[in-house]
Amino acid sequence: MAEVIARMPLESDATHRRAAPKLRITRTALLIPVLLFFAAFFFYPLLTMMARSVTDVPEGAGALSNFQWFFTEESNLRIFGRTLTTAARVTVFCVLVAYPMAYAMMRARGAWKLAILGVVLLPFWISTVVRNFAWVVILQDRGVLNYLLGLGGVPAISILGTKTAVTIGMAQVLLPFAVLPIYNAMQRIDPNLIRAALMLGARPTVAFLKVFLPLSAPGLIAGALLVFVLSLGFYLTPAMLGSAQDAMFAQIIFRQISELLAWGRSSAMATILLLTTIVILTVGSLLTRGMRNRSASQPE
Amino acid sequence: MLKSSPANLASQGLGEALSIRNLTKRYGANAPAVENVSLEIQAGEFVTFLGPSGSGKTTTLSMVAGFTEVTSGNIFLGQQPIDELPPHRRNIGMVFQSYSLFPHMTVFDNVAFPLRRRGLGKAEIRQKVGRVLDLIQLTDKAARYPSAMSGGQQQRVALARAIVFEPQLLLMDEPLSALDKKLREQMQLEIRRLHKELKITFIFVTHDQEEALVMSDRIAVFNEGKLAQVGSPSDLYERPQSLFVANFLGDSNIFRGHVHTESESHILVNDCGRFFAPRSGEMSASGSAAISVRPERMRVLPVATRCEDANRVVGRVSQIIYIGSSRKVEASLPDGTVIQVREQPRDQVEVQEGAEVAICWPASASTLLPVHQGANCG
Repeated sequence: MAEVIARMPLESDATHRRAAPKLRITRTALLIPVLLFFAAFFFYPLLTMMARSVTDVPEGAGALSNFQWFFTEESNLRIFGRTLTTAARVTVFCVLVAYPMAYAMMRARGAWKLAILGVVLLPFWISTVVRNFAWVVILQDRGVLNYLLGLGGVPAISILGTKTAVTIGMAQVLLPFAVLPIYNAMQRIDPNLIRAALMLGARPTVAFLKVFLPLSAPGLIAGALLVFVLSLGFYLTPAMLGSAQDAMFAQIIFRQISELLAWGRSSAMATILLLTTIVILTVGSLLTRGMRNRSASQPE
Repeated sequence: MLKSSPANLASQGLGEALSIRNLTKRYGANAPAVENVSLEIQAGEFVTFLGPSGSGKTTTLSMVAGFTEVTSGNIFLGQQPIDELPPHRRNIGMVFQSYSLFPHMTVFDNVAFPLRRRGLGKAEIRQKVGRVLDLIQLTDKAARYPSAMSGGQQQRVALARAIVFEPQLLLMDEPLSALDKKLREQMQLEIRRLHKELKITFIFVTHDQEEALVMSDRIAVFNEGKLAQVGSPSDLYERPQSLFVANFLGDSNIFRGHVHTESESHILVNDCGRFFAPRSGEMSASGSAAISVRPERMRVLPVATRCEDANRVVGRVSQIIYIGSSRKVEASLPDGTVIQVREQPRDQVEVQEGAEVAICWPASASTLLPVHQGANCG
């Protein structure tokens, strides 16, 4: 065996050329199960849905009539806008909480680092339904929050069924998606860069703003993008913690299907959501790639 | 590669003296990382902190820079006590081992960084940055990002950034250790020249004794948190005061034994013979001691030849190594210890491996060192 390996580099090119395609076939073979799975359960339904958005139209109407309906119905646009603003609010909230948290995690050592990581990942280990019910228990009018406020003599507040409750619930679910990319970016920053900035006369806040923040920005943008995009499709949390008047996009798509059996219209709405997501991701990745290229280009 | 600096830049950057007084750094209950270090550095002097890793040289530098809190003691820059000041108010330049250029800024913005923090006007910044970039001959690379430059170029930019705001003191923390040998030697001379032109005070940290000898006005040798010895390169090399310094700077042959003092000289006695060293005031009249002899101060002669020098020991040649500019002869003494002799071609006498030879050196080549105990021939 060892002899064979030792001889390999000396073998003629022809042998290599024959061996290489074989290897490629083996690699592809390994991917066949997952490709089949995706083809059957992801791409096929996705394409069917997109096809339906232009084929499942009322008789005599044009192929784009579902889209026409979407953009002319004022309530659709209002809910679409509300979904975008909710996603933006969740994103801002997540980033504001995640940035200091990632920083603490980067600075922590040993058991503390693990403890913070545990807190970050905790949401992943508990089912969404359970977590949402927990928020209902905490936020309802006679819930834990108001009980505690009452102890402090603060008048009760009604949060459940408001945008605030939805924002809190969604932010908690999505927090790890913001913390981990930010932490990853922070960890790559050479601590001597901050020391260098201080030695060169930068106050600690200036060193942070001019050096640390820009260098952690790619992680910040990546985390924000993830949270924003994932927020757009949220269904369960707004349904459980919000009110019908504040419904989000996924909820009205579901209503079109379950109550009105309007497959064409709901497909058109889902397609619009998908395209929105793709546009946002593209813009975001172009933005971060620009940043990375600048600081990682190769010497000539 | 460094051009001669314009006169105005050289005249502005006059250094300040740095005074380190009884400096101690303790982490918890462990042995102190730095213990009672006192050192007076003259304005405009080039001082190297030399020592093995963990000797306290970097911790001392870090206290001067302001990254490590002082446990006790004081640091003065000129007349000003600086040990209580945060790093950004000390106005000290520093070059890091890893260069630490800001990767998201161009060369120009990196060098302009300290000037912008000091609120200088655009025109003045452009002028000063232009001047130092000219000094390090990277004017044409001003718009580059650091990642698009070689290690040597990055190090020169780091230097430019550390001196552009005309600090009175420049700290360098093993700045050349990431460069290959040839580039390192070239940079050593350039830094030396830069020091002469800028006339500011330099503190250079290294564990490379050769680098310390080449570059410094004075060398402060650190060992186990303490200053082992401070002196000029030739002082340290020719008159080490301890076994540690004798071994750390260059090669030494060490003879241990029992010492007693006669009118002219110290005499060290062990199983191999009597060895003479010039009298030095501090040593006690008798007790355990060692003498250190540099390999290039010794000569190898046929065993029958009479020695003109005071010291003579007989050994058997175990190895002859040809180095080009010199020859290294290793000889083992009767008790098994090996000594090294380095000879220039014109001093060389024909000897064979395995032959018995006499090794001779004058008394003045011996340096008497204090040791606690032990005896060996070499």
